[in-house]
Amino acid sequence: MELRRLARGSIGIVAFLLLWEVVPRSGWVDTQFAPPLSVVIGTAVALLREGTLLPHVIVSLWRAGMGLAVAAAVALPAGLALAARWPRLEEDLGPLMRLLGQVNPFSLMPVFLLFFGIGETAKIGVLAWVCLWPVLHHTVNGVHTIDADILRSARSMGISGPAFLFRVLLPATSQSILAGLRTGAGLVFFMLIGAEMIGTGAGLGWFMHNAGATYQVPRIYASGALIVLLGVLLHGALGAIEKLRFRPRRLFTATALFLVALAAGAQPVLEIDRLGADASHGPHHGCGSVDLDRVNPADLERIGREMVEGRR
Amino acid sequence: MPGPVRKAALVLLFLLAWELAPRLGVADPVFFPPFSVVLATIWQLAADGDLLRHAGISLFRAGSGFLIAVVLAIPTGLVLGCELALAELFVPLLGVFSQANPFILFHVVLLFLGIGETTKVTIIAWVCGWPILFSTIAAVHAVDGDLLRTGRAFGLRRWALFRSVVLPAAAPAIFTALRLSAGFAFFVLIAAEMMGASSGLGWLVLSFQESYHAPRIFATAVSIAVLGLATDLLMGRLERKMDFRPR
Repeated sequence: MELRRLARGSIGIVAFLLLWEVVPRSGWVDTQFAPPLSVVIGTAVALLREGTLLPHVIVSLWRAGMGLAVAAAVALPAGLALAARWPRLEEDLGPLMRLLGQVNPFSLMPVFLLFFGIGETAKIGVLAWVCLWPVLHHTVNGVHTIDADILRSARSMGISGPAFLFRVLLPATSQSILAGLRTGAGLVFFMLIGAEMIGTGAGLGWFMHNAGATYQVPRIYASGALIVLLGVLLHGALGAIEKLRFRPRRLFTATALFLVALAAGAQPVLEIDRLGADASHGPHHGCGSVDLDRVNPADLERIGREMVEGRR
Repeated sequence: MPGPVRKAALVLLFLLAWELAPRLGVADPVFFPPFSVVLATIWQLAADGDLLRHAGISLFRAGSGFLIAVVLAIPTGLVLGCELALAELFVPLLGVFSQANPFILFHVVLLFLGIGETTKVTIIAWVCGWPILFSTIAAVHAVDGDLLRTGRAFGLRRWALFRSVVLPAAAPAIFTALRLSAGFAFFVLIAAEMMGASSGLGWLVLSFQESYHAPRIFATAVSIAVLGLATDLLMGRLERKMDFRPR
């Protein structure tokens, strides 16, 4: 049954992909504007093999991961503490939070640039801001929906402190927290691409924007398809994690792995930014760290090649 | 203190902190103007007519994108919700489409339509459409089976059943999605105006950013937030009005 449903579902997708191949080839749509699927795949594969895209993928994933990590580091403790320890304050803070949650992250970008200057911090700040609200909301909701009997029995057994956190609070709220993280991660990825298009010197969003600015149509589609693919993978992976049962050890391992990956990513990302900054002269415009057209694409491509060859 | 007073007090406290931090030198007033300065700047921009003009343009874009999304997504959602075979065929594909974020689409649409109002309205409609579509499908699927059976027992045929049972039962969830989408419309519009426009609030923020005029940046950002909040409150009211589930 499940298999049949899967097969039916893929009929739609396969039909769409076939149309994408056939329609431009048959001349109904100008191939200049809509290259056939095979050309797009060929471009994507070539870009990945030459390593042109790799630095951008890494930069984008790193930024998204940092945004998520910062948001989680703020929102999880705050949400748990507010909902479990100071429920009255939590209730009173409602309108203020709602007000702050309505602040449009894109309009916040110039503000963060004023504070943090041009660089990764402003971007990560904006991403963290976007992600903060759903994570906080879901965490608080998760605590609210814990069965009162569980809390009462925990209290009567005298569980408190870290034991209460790891044995009662987190297992009971993990589903809701993960749902919040999934929503947040989706938003972060969504925002990231937009933020990179508006002004940075690297990243998948920038790559696509740059391809658009220079009318490299197959590249537009190739990077676009890759972004969609990454989004689908992210969505699927987080959905799979949500289905797992909560174990403190799993939480620690996952957090540790995540942090190690972010730490490992910092060096190449900053290197790419530095290259971009070196390449840019004069006043900046746009809200980005690095002016789009002044980054030397050859430098980025060199980093990509080196990454592919495993020298980094 | 009663609850509403405490809530208001916290909001005021936040605004007071905003006012005092730059005045007491905790934050640099050049980068972080006090709240009163921001308010004065909003007033001044509004008096010039600039702010209202750009806000009007932005609202028009967001509104038309949202309406297009509503007109397309709700009927499609209802059809897909009722016809299981069609849903099985198309929903996975639509799921992949919904992952295509609007900024990607922006560049693709740009190729075909060029920079113009149509491009911006299209991507707003795209963003708003998906939550409405998927929620409508889910809402139709979630209609209580007993209600349907009762309706059938009363001799309601296909169309009548749909109109007097399915539609009212699904409406609250659809309106919740509409509210969510209206928020998205604003969210993306500002970005779209930053990427390719010469009017609208997003463009306004960006142009102030280029001249490093902090009070104006804050003034526009606050106006955008207020507009977003107002939209949310309005949609929230509409949502509660449409919620005629038995309590």
